[in-house]
Amino acid sequence: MRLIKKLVSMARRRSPWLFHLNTGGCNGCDIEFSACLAPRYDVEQAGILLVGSPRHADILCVTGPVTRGTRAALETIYAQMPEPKVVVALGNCPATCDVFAGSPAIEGPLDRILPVDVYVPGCPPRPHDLIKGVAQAVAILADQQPRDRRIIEGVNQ
Amino acid sequence: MNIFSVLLKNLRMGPATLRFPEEVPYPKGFHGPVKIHTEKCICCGMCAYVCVSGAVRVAEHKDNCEWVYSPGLCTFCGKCVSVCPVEALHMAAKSAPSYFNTKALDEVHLVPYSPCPECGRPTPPVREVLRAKAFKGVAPNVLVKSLICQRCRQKDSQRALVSIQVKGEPPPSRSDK
Amino acid sequence: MSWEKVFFALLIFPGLLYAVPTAWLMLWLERKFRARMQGRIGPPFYQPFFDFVKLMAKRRVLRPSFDSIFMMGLPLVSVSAGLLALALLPISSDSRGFAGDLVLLVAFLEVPSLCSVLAGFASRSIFGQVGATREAILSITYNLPFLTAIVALAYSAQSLRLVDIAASPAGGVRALAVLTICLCLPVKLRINPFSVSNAEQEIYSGPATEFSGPQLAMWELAHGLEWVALTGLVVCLGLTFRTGTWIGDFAIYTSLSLVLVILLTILATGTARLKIQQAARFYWRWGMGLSLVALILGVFPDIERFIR
Repeated sequence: MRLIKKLVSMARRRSPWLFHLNTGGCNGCDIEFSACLAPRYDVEQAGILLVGSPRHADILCVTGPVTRGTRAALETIYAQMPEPKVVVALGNCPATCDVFAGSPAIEGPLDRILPVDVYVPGCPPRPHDLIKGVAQAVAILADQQPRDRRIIEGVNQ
Repeated sequence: MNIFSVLLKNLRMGPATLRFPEEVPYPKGFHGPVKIHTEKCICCGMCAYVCVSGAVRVAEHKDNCEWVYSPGLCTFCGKCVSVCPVEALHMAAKSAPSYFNTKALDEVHLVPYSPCPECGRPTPPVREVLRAKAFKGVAPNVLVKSLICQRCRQKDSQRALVSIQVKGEPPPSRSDK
Repeated sequence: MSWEKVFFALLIFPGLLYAVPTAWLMLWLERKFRARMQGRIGPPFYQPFFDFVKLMAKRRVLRPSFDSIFMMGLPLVSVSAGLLALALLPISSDSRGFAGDLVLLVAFLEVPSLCSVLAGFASRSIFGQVGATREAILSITYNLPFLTAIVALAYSAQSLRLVDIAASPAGGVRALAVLTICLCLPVKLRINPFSVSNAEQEIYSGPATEFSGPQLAMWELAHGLEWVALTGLVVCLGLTFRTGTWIGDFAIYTSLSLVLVILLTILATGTARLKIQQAARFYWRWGMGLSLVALILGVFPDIERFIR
């Protein structure tokens, strides 16, 4: 049983599948994110794959402050992902809304809506920072770490 | 058949990928998080004024001023660095690491006020760089006044106005204040 | 065929024990080779295995209006059809087969595609339905030349046994028929010029869009087994000789299948996705043309003799 657990943890560490969602950002982070998939960085060497359906994914990568229009989609996509799953906030927008903060069209930041596990700072972050952030997310995923942090924090941003 | 020759060329030349621990070096002039030298700061608040997203805030207190910076709100545009009159700000050469708590990266720096040479009240510090820039070619007796606080400076100029109006009378000396 | 032999074929070679690692190897080879041709490093050797384990260990998302038995059953049927198809392949020279096993093999090879059509419609997702529709249309399209080529092979060998076809002399009919089957491989495997039904970035993953966790793992495995079975079919039908020893047959069969995988990967990497009309036109023009020539040559062997 312990062997199986170890094997599963190893497998989760080695094949994290990403689902990428832009919730109304400026597309800068998305461009850096696609650079990770390109030959220079090639995240597939670590088994990371970009999948098209949230039902296949382990890691939800969110870019952009959450706008009113994308909130429903974000919640649906999060609910569709099977456990275990982690959420990575790419760039400053999902963390604090950045330049969009205070706009009436913004429902963010992301941690009002979903439990966020890792924040990657930067506007946009460099591809290497993204990869490091995803690596931390993978560590959380593999060890099934703190479940208590997943409780949605209060609306006091 | 052009694409297949490209594919074969890629195959022959090998991957252009960086192996994982290997990193791309940071370019020169990389815009990382903003850093402050508190001993250079004059608390003018220009950085907070030009900041688009409100990442830099300057709060003035009684005997110091608070320079607050949240990299989470920053767009790393470098505007604050370019407008700083005393070059107290610069951008880090490396980006911030990823974090788990939104408040984790916020920085608070206190800039202590220096006492006014006339009244002794704490006043925003005036640095040599600024004096050299703003008071170039000014007579030394006026240059002394660059260090005094705002209130004392107002009083000083009022006194000067009075002395101009009342002709012949020399400006009152500082001792009979 | 004795029971021991059946079980050996199903469970050991070329069945479960051989086919599953080979399926993972082929899936890895396809990804790795594509990555190398694009100038990337590509996934490590163990990647498909860990993908499988990870997907098996995922928890289920509860869904209303979702027939879980049906949804779990379809990929399982698909996997077992792949295994059964593999067990029928006449790989070594001592395999005997039985009368009519060609028909059974063709049926088994069609099951994964059928399952994926059913899964697409059952998943009630718009992407799944679009994918399933495309899969169904393509299935009609490519099966016409595929089946004609099989009929031509069977006619020229005067038998419905795979062993007889594999042992029949090499000639124009066989070459043309195997070439047609090769043409049908990319669309049966849903790789690039004909990846219309599971078009990623366009309709996500087609019929598999709504599947997650163990069900998806089964789909991946079924897909890998399809690779093994179809490349194996081409190698078995195309190879005109057998070494006579078990080890020699095994080595030649495996290495030729892997070469075929590499060739298909080159094709998949170098081409872009066609529209469904273009794919249909290709198969009905070139595939049908080739296989009809093969059929005519098979039915009237005198023509081939006359040309010679």
